[in-house]
Amino acid sequence: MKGERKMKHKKVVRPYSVCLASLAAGIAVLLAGSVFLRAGYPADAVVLQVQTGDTSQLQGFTLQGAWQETIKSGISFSLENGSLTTVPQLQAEPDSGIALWGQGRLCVPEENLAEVDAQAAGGAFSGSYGAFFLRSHYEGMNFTAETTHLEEIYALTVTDGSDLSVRFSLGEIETSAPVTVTAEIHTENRVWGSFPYCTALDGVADTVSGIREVQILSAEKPVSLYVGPGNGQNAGIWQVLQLCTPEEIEQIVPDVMIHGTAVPSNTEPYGAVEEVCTLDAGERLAPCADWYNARLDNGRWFLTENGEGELSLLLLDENWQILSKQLLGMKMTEGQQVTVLPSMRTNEIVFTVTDSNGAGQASVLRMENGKVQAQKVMTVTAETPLLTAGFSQDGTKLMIVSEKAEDLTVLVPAALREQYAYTPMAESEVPYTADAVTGWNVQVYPVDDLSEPSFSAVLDFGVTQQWAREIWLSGVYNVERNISRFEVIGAWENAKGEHV
Amino acid sequence: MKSVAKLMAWHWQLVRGPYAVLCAVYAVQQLILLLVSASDSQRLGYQMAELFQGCGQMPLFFVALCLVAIVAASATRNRERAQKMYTLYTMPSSRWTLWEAQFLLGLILLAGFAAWQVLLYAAAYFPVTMVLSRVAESMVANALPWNSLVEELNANPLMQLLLPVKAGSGLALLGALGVTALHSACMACCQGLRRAVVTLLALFGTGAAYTAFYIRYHQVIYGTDAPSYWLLFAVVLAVALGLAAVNVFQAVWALKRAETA
Repeated sequence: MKGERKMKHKKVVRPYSVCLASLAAGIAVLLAGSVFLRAGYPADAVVLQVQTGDTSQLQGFTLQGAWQETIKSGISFSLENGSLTTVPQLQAEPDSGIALWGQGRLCVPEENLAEVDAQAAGGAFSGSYGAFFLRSHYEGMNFTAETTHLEEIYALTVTDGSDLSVRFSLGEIETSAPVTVTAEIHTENRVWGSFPYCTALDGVADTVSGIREVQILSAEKPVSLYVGPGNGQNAGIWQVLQLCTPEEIEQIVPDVMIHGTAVPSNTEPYGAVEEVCTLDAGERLAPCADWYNARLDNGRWFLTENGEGELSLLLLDENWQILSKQLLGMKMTEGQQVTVLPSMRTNEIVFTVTDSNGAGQASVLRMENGKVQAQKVMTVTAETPLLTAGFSQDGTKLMIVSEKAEDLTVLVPAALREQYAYTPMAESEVPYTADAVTGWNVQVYPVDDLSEPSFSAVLDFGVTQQWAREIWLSGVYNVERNISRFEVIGAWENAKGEHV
Repeated sequence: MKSVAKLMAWHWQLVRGPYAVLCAVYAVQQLILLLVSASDSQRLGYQMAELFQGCGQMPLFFVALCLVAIVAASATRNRERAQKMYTLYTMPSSRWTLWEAQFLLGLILLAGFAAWQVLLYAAAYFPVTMVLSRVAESMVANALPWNSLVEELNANPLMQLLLPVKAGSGLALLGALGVTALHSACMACCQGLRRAVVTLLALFGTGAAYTAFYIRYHQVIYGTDAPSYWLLFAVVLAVALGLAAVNVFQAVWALKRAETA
């Protein structure tokens, strides 16, 4: 009886309802978070403020930009025919390039090694690195000698941890004055490894003539290099055909004898390179830090300079073979530098030729079937660096996009500066001023008259550019910090760095 | 399936108390750690996501996930269950339902805990940002701008795992929770010395699984495609899979011999 009553009155346990409710709540929170990430992103991070003209002038233009907030996320936008759309870039992918490290050296050719080694003088060296139980000692011998006959060796290594590498010779050089070369033999704890007689290029670049400069043109496969003129050879574009693993290198490279000790040779080539395109005598690639954006819909383009400052446009196909070369009618002087800008169309080329202070000329070219269909040259000033420029679809208008910079000043307490930058200050507060790019100037001109814009606007970066904070921190540490900013995305790639 | 759900729900009833305590303690611990590190003037200029990584809360989350697994497994050692006198022999369904029910229970508790972490992060954003800006204000005259909650969610690798926006990170979340739930179910099926061994292996196994996911994350984010990373990933993943297999075998063995009874 008692049991029956108890069963009647006891609340029936229905655990699944609670259990399922908690599961539903958990999933709801996770889903809501995901939705919040996508929907809650500040869509007004980029605003178009029209100053003169109306947005119908933007018909026929597409301008893309992106801001990489961290390595993991950012925001991208596109101004297409006057309408602005903002898209959050959640967990952005890194670019597809390979991390490369190139190093040129002047080495003693193998047949001269014995002779140089015989006259070398040297001694023992030792040292240590690391601390406590990780402390390691190294010791060995180093020798120096002087010679006039050297071989230029260039090695390119992938630095993503795989240590794939290629090494090739750029020819032998007879120097006018003797050059000091060094060899090292590490007996134990080979930290940096032993090497036969050689010297780095940096120290002798001014005294030795005939050294061929090497520049990495493309870090995507196939890796392409520019090898400058020198040593009686013309400049050219080379491609890396094969990279070797450290194990393969160990097998390929023979040992040479330095003071009776076997040391791996530093002149033996490994891997494979091929010259895919040779420039004319006296011609070289125009000085440019990065050719990353030098692309067209059917290949690549480069600017060459013929020794008298005249610029030519070199068009290459997808296999890096020369399609055509044409004089541009532009000249560059000593000390000037070419900057390749991302273009707004896949059949347009934009670049600037500027002095070290940023003033000079810019040129926009529209290409059709390998020919220049339209060209516009304009002047650029150091105050408003050009970001990109391009023709409208019908070619009647020209859009010019430049940086809108403002000087922002913040006050940094001297005590803080002393604490972080160890610089004593007399005043209690130190003003710190830095140049902040708060937006872009977008101007549209009739193509035959660049005196007055028919449309002018500012793309203003609102909430997310943390300039004040960054500049203030720069002031505290008294060093220029690397501040991320919006970048133009070229028409050949999307905001994630993928080819389109 | 109904018997699995019933058993799971009954075990949920048994462990909800310790689970609630764990969630509460974790919340207090996280808030204290974040606020204390936010008030450190040496971390001037840090924002929430940097602070979260800098103060070491991220590994603590994974430690807490393992604790959730242990709490879920504690259902089979609960005194209330013993008092109700239900055993493997008297269970109205196959004994394998015990493992299945514990796996589902583990999955639910872990998913709930992940959601709890997201809520905590969102809730901690306001006080932590306030403390950060107070500290900054006391050191500088002009106010500093702060990241919005969305930006802070976006910049935190843990939130990227818990709030996946890509298929890869979604799979990683399912994998992390699945492996932990699997070990939890194996723990629940064993008794005595075997349970101690299984628990120890479970800690190593989940640790290896989380490490494998981290290596993969590193590969994706930093674009490293080096063979050495793939080798490391393969080795760690093999260890995680091996330990999971050993624990599943032990659980099967224990259930067959009705050790749990």
